[in-house]
Amino acid sequence: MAGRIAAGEVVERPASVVKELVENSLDAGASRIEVELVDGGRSLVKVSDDGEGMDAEDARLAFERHATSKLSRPEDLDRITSYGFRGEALPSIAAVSRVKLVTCPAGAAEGTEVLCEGGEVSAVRPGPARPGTVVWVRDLFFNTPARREAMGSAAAETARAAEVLAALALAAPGVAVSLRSEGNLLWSTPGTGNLLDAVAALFGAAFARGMVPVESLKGPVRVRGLAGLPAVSRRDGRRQHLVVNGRPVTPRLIRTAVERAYRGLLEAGRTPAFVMALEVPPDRVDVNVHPAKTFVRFRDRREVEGAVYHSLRDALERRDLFAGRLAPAAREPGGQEGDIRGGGVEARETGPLWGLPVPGEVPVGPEASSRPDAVDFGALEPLGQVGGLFIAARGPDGLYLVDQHAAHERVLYERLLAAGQRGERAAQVLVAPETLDLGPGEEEALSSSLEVLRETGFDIAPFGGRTVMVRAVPAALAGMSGARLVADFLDRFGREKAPPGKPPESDRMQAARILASCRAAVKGGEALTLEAMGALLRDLAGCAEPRTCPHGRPTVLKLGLDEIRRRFGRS
Amino acid sequence: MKFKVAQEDLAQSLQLVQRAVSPRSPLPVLQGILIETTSDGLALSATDQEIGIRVLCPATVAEEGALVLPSRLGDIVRKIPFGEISFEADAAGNTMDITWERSRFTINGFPAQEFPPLPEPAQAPAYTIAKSELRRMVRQTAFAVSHDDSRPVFTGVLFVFEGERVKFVATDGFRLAVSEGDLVDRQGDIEGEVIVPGRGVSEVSRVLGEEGDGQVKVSVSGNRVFFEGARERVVCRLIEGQFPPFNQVIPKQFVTKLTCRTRDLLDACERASLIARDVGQAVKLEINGSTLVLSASAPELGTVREEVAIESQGDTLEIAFNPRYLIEGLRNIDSEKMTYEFTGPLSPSCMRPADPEEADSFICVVLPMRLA
Repeated sequence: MAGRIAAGEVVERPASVVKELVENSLDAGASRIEVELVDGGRSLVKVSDDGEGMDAEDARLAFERHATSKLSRPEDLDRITSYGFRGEALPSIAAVSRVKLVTCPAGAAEGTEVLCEGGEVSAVRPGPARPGTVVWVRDLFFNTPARREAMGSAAAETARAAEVLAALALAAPGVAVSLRSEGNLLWSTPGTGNLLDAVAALFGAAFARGMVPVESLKGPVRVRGLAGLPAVSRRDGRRQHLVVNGRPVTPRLIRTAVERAYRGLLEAGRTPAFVMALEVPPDRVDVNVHPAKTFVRFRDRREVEGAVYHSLRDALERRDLFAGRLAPAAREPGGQEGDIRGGGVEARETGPLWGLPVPGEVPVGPEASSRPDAVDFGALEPLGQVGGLFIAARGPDGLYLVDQHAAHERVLYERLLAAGQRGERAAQVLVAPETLDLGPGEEEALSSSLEVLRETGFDIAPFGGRTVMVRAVPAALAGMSGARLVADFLDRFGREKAPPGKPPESDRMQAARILASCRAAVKGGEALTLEAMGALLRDLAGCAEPRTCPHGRPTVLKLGLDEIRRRFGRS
Repeated sequence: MKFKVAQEDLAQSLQLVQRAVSPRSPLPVLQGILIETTSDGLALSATDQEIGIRVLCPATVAEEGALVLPSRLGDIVRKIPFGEISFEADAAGNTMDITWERSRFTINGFPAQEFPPLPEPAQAPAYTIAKSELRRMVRQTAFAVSHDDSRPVFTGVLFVFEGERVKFVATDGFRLAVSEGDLVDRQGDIEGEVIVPGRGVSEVSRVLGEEGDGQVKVSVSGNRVFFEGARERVVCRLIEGQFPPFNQVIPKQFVTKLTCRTRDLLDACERASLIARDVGQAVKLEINGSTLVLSASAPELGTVREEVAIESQGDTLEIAFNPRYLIEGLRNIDSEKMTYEFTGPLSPSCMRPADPEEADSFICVVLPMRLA
């Protein structure tokens, strides 16, 4: 049995002691775990829990190597779900320190105390009848001077231990975990089972407000967790936590998928914060790869990457990431997650000053003249650009602000739709075909949308393996990389739903809407000349529904002359 | 620091360097212009760290020194009447007094040491090109540069140095422009390739190509390219990456070839584009013997049909284009007559000057539209 378990030293420093002991506590079903360090853990690491204690026999056996009681048959190795399956943690620790263990099963009349020094059990005697287990590890590496010297300063070792413990606390948000150093409480998680509470306890409430919930079940892989909005992204690559089947592992395992999901959202050099918990059927993941158990090997890596990628995209796209505003879908009450969202970025209200309601909604502003019907887009005269995003324009009856991105999206959308209704597939051929490597899940997305892409004017052909070739793009979208358009499109198609409150859309309409937004996103924030602004306003005037973008957001806000007069006290 | 300078010299020099000032730079010193005295005048420098411009300006220097002044200086100098202006920095080097006639400005500056030094050009490899050629080649390629930054190499102009010749190449994935010219001189490597950002190329043409004759030395050092005229220098960060093999895109054979007056085809395209005004609308070309029929229609606007006199060889052909791509290519054919070769209704077309002596000076490959 022992030979089947990858051997290796697990105790390198106080942080490893913390990790092994706390994992044992979690396996024992503890609901409260307290960790205390003295001198960064070099003098003392104490871990107490209220979990299932051991009887005298088990307590003595716990100090023997590979005496694990958790595995009885070799097949069990394929179904490992508990933490401390390696069964060598306590003996390894005891071999290089002075350990006292006090344990008692619930309901027993008396407990057991075991003393062990340098690996030799020196005493097994009755102890107090307090349910749970307490382990004192003193004088780590007292008998191996080289390793003792290799430890860092007390502060450095405390920081390392805190990091390890935080990862475990995030993996088990239902357990109240606390950390003390030199008698001072550094932090404690409430153990409510809500991951966000644990994050707030560890990293602060402001940080927690920048996280959005992630939840999905794709194939056999369940993903839950929290994804950081761009505002809480970091330069140092920290605040990334991955939990697989309840076990903290290195977040590098999903780095590619996370990077893909955040592509285009973060400035160069910034990394997203996230806490992701994956549940993968035990037979689809190999945890017995590395003695420190921070690595696992997935049987199907693409399946896992796909699940992570899509769940993150779903979570991030529900958000209007930069506007500080909740997207409509996220405003609906969402059960347990409602409070998480509610604690996020504040919802933007239509102000009393500016108001041009979305058609079908009740007007918010006091202005009768702010009704959308009153807008004569053709008569608007651009005055300038505001914030690189909005066009200020003079109308016969007041001042208008036009969202250039939304307006551009609307114009493109109607153009793409109109071309479709005329049965045109006008396409611009590329100088040289562009190739596109499909990512996780994108092959299916492409095969289900190939038809509609071709109807829109794309010329797409397989190019072997997961690569496709783009030879032409819809003429209305010329000027943009074809591969980028297709990649952006596949990102969204199939997962995007029709805007709320709108009639159901055809595939063709959805495709037009998505392509318009991909293209318009590129043009958003672009400096425009007065001439270009005028052209955009004229194009918008020619649209069937100029007042909203295809997603239902308004394209224009109006400040009526009457309102302006009143505001200046001139009415 | 103390000097006298003619208003018109300084105003003109400031106007040239001002384009490299980054008005919104987080480094306040980059919002300014570095003014240094030299042995026979002033050197003015500005950089946004992508592009740097340095211009020499004649002046009478009484006391050496250097100071960074806000770019607003350009506006001030422009408003000062024609004549001599005196500049004098205070002893601490924080402010500059600007006096003329009976008036005085005092401007706050930044110490010159805070200004990042502009890199110095290398001696070789270096290539010398006539200003007029540079100007022409930039004009004939800059229009085809991509504005979509998902493929950075497409946002630049490829310079290919080959012996006595130099080629500029640009493509946005839908058309490709190649302009070729002579080098006046070269030092070092005979062959070389660099990709210069489209914006850099335009600034070079503006700063160095503005007036008449003269020469420009182009040199490459590290990841930067330098352009030096008699008084001006532009340094620009290169785009890293591999430019696509553009020669493969230029058709070697044709199925249909026409020759016509450049002006005739350009005018007809410009008129047709008034109808095919919207993005994605096409102008159709039908080539048959001595006639080219050009047509466009827009459902809401109307239709246009024109005939252009041509000579043609090969098959009859119907082909459609984005009128903008045709117009931008045609405008850059400098000779009276042109040839236009086609390889099929959905494959590359290639326009160039008809005169065999000029035929290599400019080539524009335009990909057609597919109408279904």
